[in-house]
Amino acid sequence: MKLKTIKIAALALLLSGSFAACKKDSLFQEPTDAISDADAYSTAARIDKAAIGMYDALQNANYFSGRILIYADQRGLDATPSTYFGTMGSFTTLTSSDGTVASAWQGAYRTIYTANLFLKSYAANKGLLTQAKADQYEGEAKFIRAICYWYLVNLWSQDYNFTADASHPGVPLVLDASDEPFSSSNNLPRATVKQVYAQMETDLLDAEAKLPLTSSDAFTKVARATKGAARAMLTRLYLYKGDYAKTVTYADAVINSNLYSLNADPKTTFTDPYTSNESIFSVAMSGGDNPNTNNSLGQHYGTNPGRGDISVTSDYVALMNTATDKRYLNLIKQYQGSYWTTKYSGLTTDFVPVVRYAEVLLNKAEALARMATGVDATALALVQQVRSRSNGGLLVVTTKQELIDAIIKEKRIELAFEGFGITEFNRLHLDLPAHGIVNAIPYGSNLRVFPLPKYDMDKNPNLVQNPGY
Amino acid sequence: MRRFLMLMLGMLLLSSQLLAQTRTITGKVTDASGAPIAGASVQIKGTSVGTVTSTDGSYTISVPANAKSLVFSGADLEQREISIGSQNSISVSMQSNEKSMQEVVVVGYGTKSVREVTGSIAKVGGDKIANEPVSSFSQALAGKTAGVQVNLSTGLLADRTAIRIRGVNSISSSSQPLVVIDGVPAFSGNLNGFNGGNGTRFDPLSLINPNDIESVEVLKDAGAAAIYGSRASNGVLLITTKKGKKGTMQVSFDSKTSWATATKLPSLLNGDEFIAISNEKTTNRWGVSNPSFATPAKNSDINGDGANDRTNWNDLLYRTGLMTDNSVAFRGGADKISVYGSLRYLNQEGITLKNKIQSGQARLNLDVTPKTWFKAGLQMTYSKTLNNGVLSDSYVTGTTVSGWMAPPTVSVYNPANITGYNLTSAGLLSLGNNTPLQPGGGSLLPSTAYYYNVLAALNLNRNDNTATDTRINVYGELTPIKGLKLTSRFGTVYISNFEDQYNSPYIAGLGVPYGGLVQDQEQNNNLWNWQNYASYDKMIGGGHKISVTAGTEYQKRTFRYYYVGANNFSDPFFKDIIDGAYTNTLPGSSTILNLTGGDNSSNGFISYFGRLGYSYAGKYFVEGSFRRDGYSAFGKKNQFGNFPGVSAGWEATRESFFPKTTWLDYLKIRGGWGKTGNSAGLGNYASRTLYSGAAYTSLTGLGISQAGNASLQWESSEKTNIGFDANFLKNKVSLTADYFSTNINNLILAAPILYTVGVPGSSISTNIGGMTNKGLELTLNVTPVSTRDFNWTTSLNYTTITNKVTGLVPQNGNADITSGVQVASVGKAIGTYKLPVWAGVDRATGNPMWYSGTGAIKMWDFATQKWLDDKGQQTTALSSTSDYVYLDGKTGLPKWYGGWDNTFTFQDFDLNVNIIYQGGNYILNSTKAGMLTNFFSNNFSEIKNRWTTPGQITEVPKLWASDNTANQSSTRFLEKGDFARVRTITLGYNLNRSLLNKWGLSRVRVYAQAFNPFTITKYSGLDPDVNYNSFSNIAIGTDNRATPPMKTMTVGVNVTF
Repeated sequence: MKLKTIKIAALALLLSGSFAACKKDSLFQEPTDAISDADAYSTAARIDKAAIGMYDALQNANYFSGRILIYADQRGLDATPSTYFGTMGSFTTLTSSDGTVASAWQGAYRTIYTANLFLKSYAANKGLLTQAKADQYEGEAKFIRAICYWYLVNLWSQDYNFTADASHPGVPLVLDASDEPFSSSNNLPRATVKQVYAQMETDLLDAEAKLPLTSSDAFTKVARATKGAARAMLTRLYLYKGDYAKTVTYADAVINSNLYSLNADPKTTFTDPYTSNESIFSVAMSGGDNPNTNNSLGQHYGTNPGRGDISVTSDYVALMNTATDKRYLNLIKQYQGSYWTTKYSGLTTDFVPVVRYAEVLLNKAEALARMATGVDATALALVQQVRSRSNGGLLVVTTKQELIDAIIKEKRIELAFEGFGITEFNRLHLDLPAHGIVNAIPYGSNLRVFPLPKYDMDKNPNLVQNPGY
Repeated sequence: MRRFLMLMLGMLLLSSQLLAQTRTITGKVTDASGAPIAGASVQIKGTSVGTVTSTDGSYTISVPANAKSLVFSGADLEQREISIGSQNSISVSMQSNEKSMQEVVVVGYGTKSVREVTGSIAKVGGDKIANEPVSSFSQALAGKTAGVQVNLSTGLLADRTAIRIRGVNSISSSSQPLVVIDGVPAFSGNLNGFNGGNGTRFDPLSLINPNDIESVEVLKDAGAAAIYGSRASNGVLLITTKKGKKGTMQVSFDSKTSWATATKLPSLLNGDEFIAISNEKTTNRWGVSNPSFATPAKNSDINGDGANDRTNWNDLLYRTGLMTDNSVAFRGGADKISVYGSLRYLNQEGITLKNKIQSGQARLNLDVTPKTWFKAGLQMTYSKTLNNGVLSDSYVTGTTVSGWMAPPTVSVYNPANITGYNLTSAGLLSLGNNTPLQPGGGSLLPSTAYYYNVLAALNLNRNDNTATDTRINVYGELTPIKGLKLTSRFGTVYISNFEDQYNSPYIAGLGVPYGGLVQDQEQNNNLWNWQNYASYDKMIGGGHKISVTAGTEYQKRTFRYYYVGANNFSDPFFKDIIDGAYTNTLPGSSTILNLTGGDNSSNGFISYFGRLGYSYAGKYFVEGSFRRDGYSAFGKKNQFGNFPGVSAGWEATRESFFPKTTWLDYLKIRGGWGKTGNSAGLGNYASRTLYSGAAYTSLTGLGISQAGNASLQWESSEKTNIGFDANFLKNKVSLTADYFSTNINNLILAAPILYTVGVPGSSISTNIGGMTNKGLELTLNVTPVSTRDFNWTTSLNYTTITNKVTGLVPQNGNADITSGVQVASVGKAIGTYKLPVWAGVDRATGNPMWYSGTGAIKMWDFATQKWLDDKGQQTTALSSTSDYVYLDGKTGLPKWYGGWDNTFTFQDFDLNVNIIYQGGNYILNSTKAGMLTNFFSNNFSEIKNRWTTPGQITEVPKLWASDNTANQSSTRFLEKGDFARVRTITLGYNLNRSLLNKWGLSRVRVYAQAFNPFTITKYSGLDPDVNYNSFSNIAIGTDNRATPPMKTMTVGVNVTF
């Protein structure tokens, strides 16, 4: 009997002993197929990966995959409107329920969220990084945030000078990744256009201060943010505000860095590996980045191969001397009775051009031309530089206005299909003439800006819809 | 309750004092083996005076002089009446009560006598399950017990089976019950991974040998199931496998052979009809202005036999599937050991060509009792199964898509093709002389991917799954003192599936474009589960019985899969991944394709559970159970949940004050309430904020892929159950009735978040929705005839259920959640149809008509391609927002269902007839809608009823090429799903005992069985019981091209030595 008691006690002890062996940690394991938020920024290497993750987010299929450039151009005169993108190209039938517009808005804020989340999360672990790396990442986050807001404020709002003090509605300024996604504190009202521009300016200036000047690696020089990229974007921002002196200041900073130059052939910029000295910042793409190949620039603009959604208007072709201009000869093809751009012929691998050297030269030219009292010789030389590269012919201007008009026309030829289709018309307060099946849309029309998505309008009582939607 | 009992007791004592006390009788109550019975009731007949036996079985009672006899009764005991006479000492030996009452049921972490059960538990015997020639035991539960509804997805072998216990209990999560085999949770779901697992679905429950099952207990209410905590909301199936029986040693051999055909195949147009109908479609549309497009359907002679090709695709794709199922089992036990072992080889052909399962299964269950205080044992099973799957619904190459739609006027074969099949260079079926073109260059085909030569695809492609299933449980049980048991059980489950898909370079889809493609995927499921619990049963003097169970359970499951692929083979000879035989580039390209991938994840449970039962005098039963469940997938703030359950029973017929009648033998009233959870289908890391790989061209990065919800928890379900069990007429009739009410809250739904917040997917899984299920279950068992030679037992069960959605996503204005044309909508039953109402075919024009939301006619005018109102004026198109209406009360879920089982025995013959039925549901016959297409396609022969002449009354509109407006989902295709089906008719003959003795056999039975021989239904589709969407909580009821189930004839023999 006693032996039995001992045996039972021993077995019971064995059991209770092994109870303790079952630790919660071994049963409730941390994910093995994804890193949890607590660990995502725990080492310098991971912070570096998270910084790259911001660029992955920048490749958002509905935004900087190239779609947002397309949307700007769908509402201009040079690309044929395609029903593949809903009704945005026809203006009049666009509603706040439009899925394409809603997805673009969602994609923009999704990208901004990633940048905000990075800024918030890396701050706690800054100590793991060298100052140079910390500065670089912060600069990259702010640069990415700024270029996302660029299209938001320019496509969902009227231009900066629509009201005298830019007090008309911009877009909600989300500068922090919310910890409580359901909280009503997320119901932000629309900031004014002035406030949005001020934020982009702050972000770009901060980025300009913190980003590295350039990189010895050709890919990194173009595909990741640099001082040059921030400066180039600042020339655009100041030009759109009408602050011409600052446009010149930052254009000079880009030019004098001697890092950038025009390619002899305009086609080179748009040819693999897409990292020539003319590209200042592009969103890099590879076949693997486009899991849904229906969202790449090459699919939409390309034909044979490519979906061939967007052909080029004859209005655009008529801007050039088709006998000599390389931008026609090397960048336009004819196929099945229509014109097509060959800027994006890599199907799914074309980089998305955000800002390039030719634009900086033209921005400076326009700023100088506008500040001068007569015909500014430097401005004329700059625009001629861009024009001559493509064999566009010699410009002859006699008045200041002729020079400005020539620069604007040159810009339209040079930067076509790169996301300026409607923004330039808005900035210049120009009416959109009737084109194709689209009636004339005068400057200031409610139709010239996108509606805010119904999805957000229904949930956020502080949002005010654009008039007319 | 306890107080109530004390009060009752007091009253009893009080009343006894009022009687004259003349004499004291003492004695002892023992069972058949002489062991004392505690808590038995001893009562003076005709009075309420009585006592109960103490722990040693003894009693003392004072009886008045006029007392005639004493009545002895107790739980599970047959009542005895002993006349007092002049005795002063009366000791009785009591027998266990009639058979059904001594039955034991398996409950969570233990067993219980049926009489003590207070929750709602149904038991299905293993023989009922092994009786049916189905590919998973779960399918055999159909109609067997109240409250359980079973639907197949398709008639393909081992396809998933939807089991719904007391209705649908979720919207976005799974409604499948928890399946526990010998105490260890099993996997259910799908072993298949390619094509989102939707290629050749493979139910892991089909890997279990149904012959090994002793019983299946269905825990339906919270009283029974709450001990399974966060996984119990959908009910629990407790599978118990067979054990050895002491004192016997038997070897039995089972062999059956069966022949299966489809219950029903669609009626398709023959070649001549196809040509006429196809050309009428185009003539109606283009005949006058474009004669060259009027006759796209033409005769061809592709096989070169000199005659016009005619192909009946159904004849080629469907067959009589042969099944042979042989198993041997041994079962027995000696003093300290008992053993059960089995071996089975199954070779089953499906009704679809190439669909086949070959499975070898082995089991060993061993129990040893080396000491009186120590018992141990193990259950081991291993099986290996090859499942030759076929693609059917949802694939253009599927047997029920291209197989039904391909023109019957082209040959399957073409001797000139390298494969011998009729194929184009793109790998599609060549349409020969047919010219399916429309003016302007478009095609009359549904898309450029049509049609596949399904016979060629079945023969040249491959969709194989090879699963191995290993389960090993080991347990030890200590009994240190009487009544106390300490149990430790460790179980492991390892299921792997190797999926092997091959696409021939001659077949379109993944074949031709890839130059041949092999894709292999290995999936590994690992689970270990460790339970330690103590149970203690104690009789306390005065009829009090206490039983306590308390323990812990730990579980971990890991899941890993990886896939590899090879394509562009140097020769079609190579059909596997062979070094050097492929390039992994697209033909003509030098870019290497990445065909590898995988995932690895895990989850864990930490649980504490307990149960406290108390009964008094075999009349009053109270039980409380509790589980505290921690699950790693829940949010960190809510990782642990508490799940209580209480239930009580009162055996009224035991009360002395209960009027004694000759017709009522037994009445027990039960009631229970509890809280359970549902976590089925929740992703392992659903609550987490996650960073996944995020590449920027060739730079590797990390990016947020999911915003978590640290509060994410189980879907909670409050279950109330009230019922009774009653036996009548000398236990010849028994009736069980239960009313249940389930109140579900915290349904996990994707709550939308402002786009401007920017989280991935703009939604987060959140506990928000609510739903209720209420219903009634009735089970009636009757033995109408019971004689020496002839016996008839019959069992009928009936369940009725109503569902109501009470809440969805408030952040989204409680907007409907839609799946197909069915919705979850607040205030309505889940799965309510929302469709435009069909107004018939306009007699004058043959145009289709519907009612608008306001009840006006909207007609689609084929000729002008415009919508017209009843005055012929143009109107707006049918709108999903204004013209689709809720069809209140019409859902895909049956409102009532059940089964009726009859067994007759006459001398050595036995006959069983089993019938299942269900109804109150509606089926959207999308199969028919698709097969009445106006594309260049074969059609269901119903299309011959099309409108042709003004004034004609028909439901099939005028034909109009390439225009399927008329075939859109509407009430035109909504049908009642009511049916009654003879599930099995089994006739058996048992060899006469005298012969058996002569031959030294203990049993020989030969039988013949018809399975699914006939069905009574008004549903015009293939089968009202089989539904492509059976797994969907909302879209259940929308059928689309499901392969029909099997109708099987079986002969079998069972020999026991």
